[in-house]
Amino acid sequence: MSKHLKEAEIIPYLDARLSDAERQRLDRHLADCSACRTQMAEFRALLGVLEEWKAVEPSPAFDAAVRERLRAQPEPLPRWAWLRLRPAWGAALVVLVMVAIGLWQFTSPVPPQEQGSAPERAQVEPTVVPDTAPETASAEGDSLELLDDPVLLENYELLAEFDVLFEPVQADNKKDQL
Amino acid sequence: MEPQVAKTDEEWMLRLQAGDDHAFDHLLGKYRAPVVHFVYRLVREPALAEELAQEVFLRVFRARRSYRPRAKFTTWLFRIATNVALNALRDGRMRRWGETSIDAEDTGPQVAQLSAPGPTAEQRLLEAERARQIRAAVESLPEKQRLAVLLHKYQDLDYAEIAPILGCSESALKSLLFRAYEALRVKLRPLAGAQP
Repeated sequence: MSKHLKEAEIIPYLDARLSDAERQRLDRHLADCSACRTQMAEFRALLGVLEEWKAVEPSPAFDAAVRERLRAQPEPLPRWAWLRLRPAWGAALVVLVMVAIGLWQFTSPVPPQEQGSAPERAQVEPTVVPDTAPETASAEGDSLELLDDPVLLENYELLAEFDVLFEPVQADNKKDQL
Repeated sequence: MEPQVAKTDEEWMLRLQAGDDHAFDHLLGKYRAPVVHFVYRLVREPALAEELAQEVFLRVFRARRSYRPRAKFTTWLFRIATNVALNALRDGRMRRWGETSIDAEDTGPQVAQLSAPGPTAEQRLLEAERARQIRAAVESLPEKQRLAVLLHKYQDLDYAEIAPILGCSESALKSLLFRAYEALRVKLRPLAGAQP
């Protein structure tokens, strides 16, 4: 008898999201294995049972309420909009920054010359390799962490307003507590 | 010349970004119910769910200028919905999960149906009780598993849409879903064997 079904392939099998070859392999196993067949039948029944939990429908006034809230709550200005609104402020800020940089360069002491050449220092200083946690660690973690995907982050500027994204992950509360 | 018609949600968002308010109506019409359903299943209170779902669309509208169509619109939308709902749960806008009796909560659709014509009163009570048990079983799952089930089973999103919402890989999501459904399979086995 072939190996029992893996946990990561049971739900895709029920969703019909496996390749033909994978599906045929699972079908062959299910034909031979009554335990897996029973388990699969129970999963299928469960998905049917879950249908019985109905949600409320939106009220007929939903769209009007959204529109009203859009009207009632003035749209916040983009972060740097005040610079565009008041060009003089923007120009003043630029001048201030340039003056600050100039002063800093003028007053900074010249750093003492370091001993040894760069390659020599490289031999002495240990290379620090950043820890990279395995992907499953965060996937199985308990909190919804700040998204790491820069592509998604580009669209998530507004999510910075939410507390949940910035909560530290509790080390002792890792398992599936989001 | 015919105005160009957007085909995908991402294209509708770009039209909204370009100043076409009709695009917002389209997205609102398409996702009004899914967002309300999703938020309701998280917060359980119909009025709060409606208010929070409205907030989701407010945020979509206000983020239109910075929107970039690099990810699926549904991923973005349900990530916003997830955070709006979780923030509400955590900031005390409703009683915390588990602090109140599930039986005392939610006179939602199941109970509301009691006065509807159709099945007998006994049948409707039975259905309401089954729905209550299902809801309690889903709510007993750890939060990430619960979100995975809500997005997979009730919103019918695919793995590529759900995984970024939960911040995990697709393979990790499949394992997460398995564990969630396995727990539900055990808890709800009596219901699966006794259809109403």
